[in-house]
Amino acid sequence: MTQTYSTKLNVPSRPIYSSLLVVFCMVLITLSEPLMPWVWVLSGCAIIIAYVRIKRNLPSVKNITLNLLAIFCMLLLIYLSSSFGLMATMVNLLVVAVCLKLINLHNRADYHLVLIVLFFLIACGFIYHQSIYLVAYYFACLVVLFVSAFLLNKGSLSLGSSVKQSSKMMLQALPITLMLFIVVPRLPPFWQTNVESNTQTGLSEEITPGDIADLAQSDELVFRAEFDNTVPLRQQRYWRSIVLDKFDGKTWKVTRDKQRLNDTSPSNLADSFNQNQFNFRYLVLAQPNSTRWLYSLDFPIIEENMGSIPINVNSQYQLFQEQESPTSSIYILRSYPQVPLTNFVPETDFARFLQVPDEGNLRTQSWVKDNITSQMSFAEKLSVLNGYFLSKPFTYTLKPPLMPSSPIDSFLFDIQQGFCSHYASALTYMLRLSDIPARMVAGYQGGEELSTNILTIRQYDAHAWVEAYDKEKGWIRFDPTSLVAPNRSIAGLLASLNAQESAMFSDEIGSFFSSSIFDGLRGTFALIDHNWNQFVLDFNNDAQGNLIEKLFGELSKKSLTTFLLVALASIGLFLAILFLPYKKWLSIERKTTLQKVLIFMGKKGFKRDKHESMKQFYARIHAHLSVEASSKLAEFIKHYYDFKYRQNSQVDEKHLLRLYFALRDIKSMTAEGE
Amino acid sequence: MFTIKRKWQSLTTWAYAKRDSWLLKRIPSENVIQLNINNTFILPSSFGWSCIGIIVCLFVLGTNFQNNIILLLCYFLLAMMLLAVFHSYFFFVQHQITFLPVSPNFENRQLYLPVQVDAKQNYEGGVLTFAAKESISVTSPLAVKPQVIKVPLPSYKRGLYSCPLISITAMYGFGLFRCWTHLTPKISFYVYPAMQKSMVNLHRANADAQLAHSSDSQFVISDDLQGIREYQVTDPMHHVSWKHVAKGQGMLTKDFSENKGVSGWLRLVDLQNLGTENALQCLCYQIQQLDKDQVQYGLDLGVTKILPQEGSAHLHECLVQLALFSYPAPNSASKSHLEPNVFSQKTQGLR
Repeated sequence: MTQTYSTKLNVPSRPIYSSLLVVFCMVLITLSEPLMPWVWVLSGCAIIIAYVRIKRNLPSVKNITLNLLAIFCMLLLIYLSSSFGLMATMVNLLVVAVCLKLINLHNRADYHLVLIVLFFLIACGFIYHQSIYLVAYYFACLVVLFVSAFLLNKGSLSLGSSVKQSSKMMLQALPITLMLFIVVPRLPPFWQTNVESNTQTGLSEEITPGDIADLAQSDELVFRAEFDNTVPLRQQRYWRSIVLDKFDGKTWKVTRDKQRLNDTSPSNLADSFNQNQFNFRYLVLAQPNSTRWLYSLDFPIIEENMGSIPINVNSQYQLFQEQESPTSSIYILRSYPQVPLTNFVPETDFARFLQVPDEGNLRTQSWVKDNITSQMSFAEKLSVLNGYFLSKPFTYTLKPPLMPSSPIDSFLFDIQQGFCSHYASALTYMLRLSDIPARMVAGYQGGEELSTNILTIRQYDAHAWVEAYDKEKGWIRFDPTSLVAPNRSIAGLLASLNAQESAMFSDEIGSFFSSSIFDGLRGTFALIDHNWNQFVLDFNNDAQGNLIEKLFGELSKKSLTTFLLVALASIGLFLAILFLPYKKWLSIERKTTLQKVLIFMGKKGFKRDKHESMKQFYARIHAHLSVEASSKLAEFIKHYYDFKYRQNSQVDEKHLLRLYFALRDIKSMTAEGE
Repeated sequence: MFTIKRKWQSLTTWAYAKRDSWLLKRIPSENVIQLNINNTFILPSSFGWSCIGIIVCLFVLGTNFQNNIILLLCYFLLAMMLLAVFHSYFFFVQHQITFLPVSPNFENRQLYLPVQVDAKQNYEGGVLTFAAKESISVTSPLAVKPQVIKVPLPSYKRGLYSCPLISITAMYGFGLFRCWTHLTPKISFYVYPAMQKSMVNLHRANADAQLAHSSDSQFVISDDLQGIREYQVTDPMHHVSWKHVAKGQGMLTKDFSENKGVSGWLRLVDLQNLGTENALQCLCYQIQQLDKDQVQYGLDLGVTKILPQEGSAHLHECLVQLALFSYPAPNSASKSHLEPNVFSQKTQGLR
């Protein structure tokens, strides 16, 4: 093709340039996580150069300089790519590309390139951020990008009308987007990817007392539970997640035992009690985490799993998924708080839950030897151990001093300050020394009431407690932390801290925590967030299936096909409404004055031929017109030509309309005698 | 290597010829054209293709990360693409294109094809790009009123030509789609020889031949002022007595004695030693000069002879003869087709 589209920009490029720059800055701020420091420096320089170029005309940078810089950046990226992940490297690459291009924007293709890369950067942003607010923020960026794309081809249109027109087109895209989102089937991942998103925080399968304090600083959402009717009291809300049974003197770990993991005996136990007794029925919507463990109240029975990855209950009443889930999990549970946890296999479990390391924490060992005798009953042993915590000045704090060697010794006898994992770890250790099978349970305690039946559990609700085995009653929960800080389990974490600490803490998790107005607002926001999670982020195949079932009554191949067809047809219908010239068909389209005149003349019996010009038309018919009509029509035609073909003519549309009215008001159109 | 290049070139020319003939069959040559589904082509622009690429990438990315937001973005872009097809098409077809006659010009001057654009104003604003084959393109931001755009044509040697293919392109909306059409205007135009400065050599017809061939055979423009008379529209501007105009006495024309009644012949043979093309260019200059001085002149090109006369019609006739002198087989556009065409052009435009 010899003809090529003009690449030179004839439109003022300043608004486009600045809007691209603004969007780049906006996107950059949100990508702090994966960006390498030198990329920050480069972007800063690029932004400053671009800003100066917008302000005044700067000579453009030579291409050779830019190309050399690009090659250098590439090499640096390749060199550093091994220490950053593939995803992060790609994001960095895109940012570098925008930086280098932003310095020298010449023609349309350059602008298009920057637009495309920014689209992709926004998509990358969604890997790191998915909250509704950030999505709205990114959507605003997207709107600006599309408006700038529109400005590239706006012609003589003013800036304001361009924004209006492009926004209109984007609004039209929304229903189609929604339809596609609901209809298009969700495919399974094409290949396995390691998710790099916010799954690093959360409970881990190893607890060294002190770890949970890090979680306490985070207000990140862990899961939400929506109850059918009654919500358990705060003291009852012990959300079991990870059971730790192996202790090496410092750290508690999970025994890696495949067989045990897949042991689903409690589900058999479910038959052993009356399922009609008091229970809580609730739906859990859990954010993805880095482990396979999920959350439940005791004693859990899985009623329905709405995710794609199967969920089981193991012998320690833990919920686990068969593989780590990159997306949220949704499941419905029934929990029976009064059912005892009796699962205990004497042959193996005694050894397992009495295991203690030989070395370390010698003072604790001798203290237990001195105070506990083997003749004591379960209850007596416990009261002795609990008595120790009550008799000594133990305090609850999130910032205890470090206890590097024999941590339990120094916690129990020297420092006597700590938080849940210190207390749970010490009590479990002492119980095992006293010959009582015990284990540490990590999970979440409490939760904020979002509305009357929805609980929100955040990372700062993380907690650790103890379970001891009694031959008659089974596994019994003890929370040594509550002995020291009873508020911890009744009013939540904040209440149990002293004033100074809680001030510092609330600074970190949002200063408007306590005020009642903001409490309400916070609740509203959380509710929005909850719905966002449930209806958008977790809209998967099953949700799609549910919708189809709701609409068609059953989920079958036939109903699926109908659903798809109906959806596609509705998109087609929408497009038809937008674009078909129905206005013309219904003749509600605004007519030009000329058209009105011609229709009027046509009604009077003077039809213009298709190939006749107005002058020819007039020449043909004027003999048949009355004198008045003829002169009026001639005047109209003359003014019409002036209006249409003379530059700077004084005639406007209104004037023509007046002439048309004058013509219409003539009583006798035809010449007399006819 | 060289032969491959040449082969390739011949292949591309062949392909273009094929395409052009196909286009002509599909979009008949016309001067008033309403753009519509029959003459419009639409395909994604480079930006559009990259957008499609992005959509595919986002779908893979979103599916792999099981990330609904990325999928949402993907579908949004898809919806935008879908709408952009219609918006760019309907923007494009709201235009009516009218090709106006090309005013003839000299070889070394730029020729323009005036194109009038009427829009129904379903969409405001927008840009149309006009390009003639092998020539630079003009981009015109569209205004509300019908407007005339001068599209530069490629440079031609002297002769009679029919208008080349005109491409009209729009990338309305977000630049995602390129709408274009190739139109062949039903317009022919003359290209006169370039003007080359030379002495005017007029063979007087009314004086004896000896005088014409005398040593100073050069025709001298006399400054003998005969008198002053009322200005007539046909009078050359440089004969207007501006002194009188300035004094507010109206337009008066200076009458020169010598030119009155002068008439003669310009002969190609005289300049034959310069080569035909140069000779024609010299003649072209000379008749311009003579016309300016209101001298009656005839043109003797050997076979063709035009009797001495004056006036713009005569000038045009002479220039045409110069343009077509020993012209190889006349161009597909014949003269008979040219004139009514221009006429109908004018009348149709006024509809």
